[in-house]
Amino acid sequence: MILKNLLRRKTRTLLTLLGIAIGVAGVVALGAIAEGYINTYTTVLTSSGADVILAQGDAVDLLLSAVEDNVLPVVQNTPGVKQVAGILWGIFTTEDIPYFFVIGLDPKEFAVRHFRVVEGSPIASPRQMLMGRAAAKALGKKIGENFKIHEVSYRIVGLYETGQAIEEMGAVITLKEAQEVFKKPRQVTYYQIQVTRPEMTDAVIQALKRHLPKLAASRSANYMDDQQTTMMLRAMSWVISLLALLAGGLVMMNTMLMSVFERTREIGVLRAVGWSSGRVLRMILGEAVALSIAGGIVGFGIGALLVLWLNQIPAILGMLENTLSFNLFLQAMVVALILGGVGGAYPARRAARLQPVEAMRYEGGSPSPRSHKAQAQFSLQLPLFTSLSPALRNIFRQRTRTILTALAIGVGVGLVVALGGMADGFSAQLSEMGVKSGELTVTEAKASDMGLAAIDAKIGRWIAALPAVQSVSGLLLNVAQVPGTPYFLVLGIDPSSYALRHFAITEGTYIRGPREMMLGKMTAQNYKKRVGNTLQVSGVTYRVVGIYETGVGYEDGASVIALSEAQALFKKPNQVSFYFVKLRDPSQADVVRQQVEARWKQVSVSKSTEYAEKMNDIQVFRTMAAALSFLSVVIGGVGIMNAMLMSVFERTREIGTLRALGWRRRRVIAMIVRESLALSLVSGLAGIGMGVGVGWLVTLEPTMGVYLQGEYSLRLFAQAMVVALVLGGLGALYPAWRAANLSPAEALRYE
Amino acid sequence: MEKEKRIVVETINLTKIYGDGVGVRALDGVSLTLYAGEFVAVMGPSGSGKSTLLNILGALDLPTSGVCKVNGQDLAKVKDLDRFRSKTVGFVFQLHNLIPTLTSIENVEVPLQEESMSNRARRERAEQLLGLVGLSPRVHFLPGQLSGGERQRVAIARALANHPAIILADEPTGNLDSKSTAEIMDLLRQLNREQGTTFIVVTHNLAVARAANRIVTLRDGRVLRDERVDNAYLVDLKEFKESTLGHAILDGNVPPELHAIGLDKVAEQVKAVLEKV
Ligand SMILES: Nc1ncnc2c1ncn2[C@@H]1O[C@H](COP(=O)(O)OP(=O)(O)O)[C@@H](O)[C@H]1O
Ligand SMILES: [Mg+2]
Repeated sequence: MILKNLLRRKTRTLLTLLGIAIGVAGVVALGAIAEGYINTYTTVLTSSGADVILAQGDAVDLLLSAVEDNVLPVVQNTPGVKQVAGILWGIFTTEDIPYFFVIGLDPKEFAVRHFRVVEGSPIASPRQMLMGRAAAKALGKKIGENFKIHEVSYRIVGLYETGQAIEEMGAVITLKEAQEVFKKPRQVTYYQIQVTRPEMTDAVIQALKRHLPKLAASRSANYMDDQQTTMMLRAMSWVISLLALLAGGLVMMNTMLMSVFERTREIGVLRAVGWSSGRVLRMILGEAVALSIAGGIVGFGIGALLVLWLNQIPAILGMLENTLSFNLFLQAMVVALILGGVGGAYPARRAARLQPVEAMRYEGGSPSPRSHKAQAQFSLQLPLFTSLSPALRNIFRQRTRTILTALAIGVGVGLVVALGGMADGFSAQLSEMGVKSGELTVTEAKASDMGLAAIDAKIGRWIAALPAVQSVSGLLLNVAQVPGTPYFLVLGIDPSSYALRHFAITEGTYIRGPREMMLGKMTAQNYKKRVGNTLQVSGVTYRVVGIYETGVGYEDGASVIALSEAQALFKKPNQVSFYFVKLRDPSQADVVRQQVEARWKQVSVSKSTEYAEKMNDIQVFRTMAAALSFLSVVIGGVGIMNAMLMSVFERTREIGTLRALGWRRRRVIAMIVRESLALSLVSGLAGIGMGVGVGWLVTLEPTMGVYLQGEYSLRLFAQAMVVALVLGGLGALYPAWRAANLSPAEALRYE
Repeated sequence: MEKEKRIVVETINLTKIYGDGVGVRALDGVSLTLYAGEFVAVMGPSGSGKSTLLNILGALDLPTSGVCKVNGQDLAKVKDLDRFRSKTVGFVFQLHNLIPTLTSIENVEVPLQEESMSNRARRERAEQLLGLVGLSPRVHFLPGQLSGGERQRVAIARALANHPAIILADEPTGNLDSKSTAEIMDLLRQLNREQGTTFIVVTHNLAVARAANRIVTLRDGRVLRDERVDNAYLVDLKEFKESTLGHAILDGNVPPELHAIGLDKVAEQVKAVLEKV
């Protein structure tokens, strides 16, 4: 019976199923990505044979952690510690591989055994390298050949396998050489520790925490769970899934509600022949759940395909391998069931509460003249109602459906607005300082993300010596940890540089020397600090000498210290993230750009107004935003199509009448399209409202909020409206075609 | 005199089969000629093909075979059926089929929308039509606020909008009480007399048929009877003939209960009268 009822409206069932499936697919794909990221690192950490990991306490990403090797004696002397192995991860970009990992290890220590040599021999002397099997294949390298990392040549002596794509897409050299080539002397990414007996693990962790409070010691299997990134990733995946599901749930509710409306008489008859209201409730709920289970299965399929496809992309590093677990499937099904339950509950309740006598007299969607209450209500709204255009009247007639559809589309449009606004805002914020500080901005050519971007100071000095250049300001951008907050943005700027003037001091003075710090207005407020107070950042105490305000969200939520201090603090000696170049004559911009890029292949020079858009971060964000928007827009499209199809179905007689009265197909099509456009217009406005609302809510988040201040332009709103209207237009095509091709005689017989 | 009258509808051997092969023969060789100014009632039991006939006359449906000419045009040869529907015929349905979101006047404007006329002219025409059916005070009401009879009046005004040669009404009073039915029939008759509009009205109701000057009776898709009604009382006699008592008298066995009032004494004369009806 349930199946039969669903098959009665094949198109609608299919559309609803699709809506749910896309939502579930989003959950599956995002879940797999989050889990894949976490699993990959966890496996890398555990499979090396280490029991405990000792890393930087406030690293954003495991591979960005930095630990000084002077802690080594402390670790070695901790009771219960059997062996310690430092590992240094370096990343660089080759033509073929966007992220090529170079792993520095002491060949004598236990950790190197994890890299199983399957061909050739282990590292025995300097300038030798083991290469991952996958990397060797991708690069077309063989044993005996040479491979260059940052101008240093290594001979490949062996190939290894570990079972981890991220490791096999890389190479192993000695720790010492890695420290040299990546300019990280006496520094490792983290330490891998083996304990004497498994029971000792907790004791060792406790001891390490006591002796090295600035560092983070965890069980290797748990390291990722303690990370901020993990939480962020999981939270993000949940929030986005929730949005996708919200849209799916609304489509679901719409369908079931529609189904209840059009079967009102039928339900009345069922009640009249003795069905209890509970039984009616179960029938409708059963249909909703059946629909959502089917949607869940299809959605899992789509999600799985998506994950498999994503895993092919080099930048994903094979992180998504083995993420399609039975667990994930169960998760998808649970989500689908919740969708069905929640989406079906209200319609089922409505169905169960129908009065049998009233229900059997029901005549369809028209405002019923029989119910006096409805009639009175309707008369009250009459002047308003009849002042609307006919298209809007139909939308108003089906208030519940309009609201549901508007919400479903609104979620999509809202996402476009919120994410687009954030990206624009982010981009504008990033550009701000560059624009104020010089015409050109120099970035690392192949930096994978901002945190990794590094330019050698010698390039800055070379640029400063160019005759057309007036001044060069270096900026080192990094996040540190301050007790109580996970993210504390630190800008390292030379006190004498031109860029510092961008930070307008409202209280106190500029930084002049070591251990001095300026705080953004927001930062000062958040941490309740004033001029003269001190603040500890990554274990170093700074005195607050000034408070500044630039009006740029992320800057006002940051802090400024001297460039040399920042380089020391973040262990990036002689490195900056960006250079801002001020020219004597702005018209020389192109010439200078060419000069710099010709001499230094590793940097890329852009106009300060444009560089933010070129940043990998922004591009990644925009791509992500586009993908998400697309996802929710598809759901919205399905929603509007569903709504219009329902509208056509329930007005079959009406359309038959219009045709009987001589209306041409064209006019019928135009009527449906007009209505759909009106619906999408309303939805688009709702979406813009929702988007701005969500964007604003995000900025309230205490830690990350300031960086996500959206910038909402008319262009963005126009874009959102265009998306909504295109959705409306496309969503109307099929329903309009159906309506136009109804045979008038058949349509008039339709009940 | 009837020879001079213009032919509005002419069907020859009209047949309509639903479904393929051994499907339902909804119409089985119907040949009819209807003249301008006639008020024709189409009667017959449910499923006898009345609606099918009307649908074909109104170009809502195509016959399986046979010729159908309306207002001189062979429907098989009409290219633009939409235009034909809007110009040549007007429909009134059993369920009023008004657009629930449009006011009375907007509903009447619907068939005028395919016409190239100004909005103002359209509005004036619609107002005039609503006046004609006596609904001037209800011009800006939605269908939901009108009584059943009033809604049918709007539907009739809508059907008249484009000066159709013929109005096709499929059980227009089927959903109305007897008082509203009488009012609607009076209106149709009045329109027929004063405007000379040709009506074909499908009905089950003999009281409605009484308004007609010609009654076509269908059974199983065929024309069972086609008769002119000059005298309205004749319809009552027909009704009586079709009643249980009428049948009893025709069969020659008057129920004994009625002997007390002496029916048995006049039974033979009554039978002779009924046989002539
Ligand atoms: N679209 C259709 N498809 C199949 N059978 C139909 C269709 N329309 C009418 N019929 C059948 O044709 C016959 C005549 O129907 P109809 O003209 O509606 O009768 P009436 O109006 O006299 O009650 C009936 O048996 C009916 O079931
Ligand atoms: Mg009928």
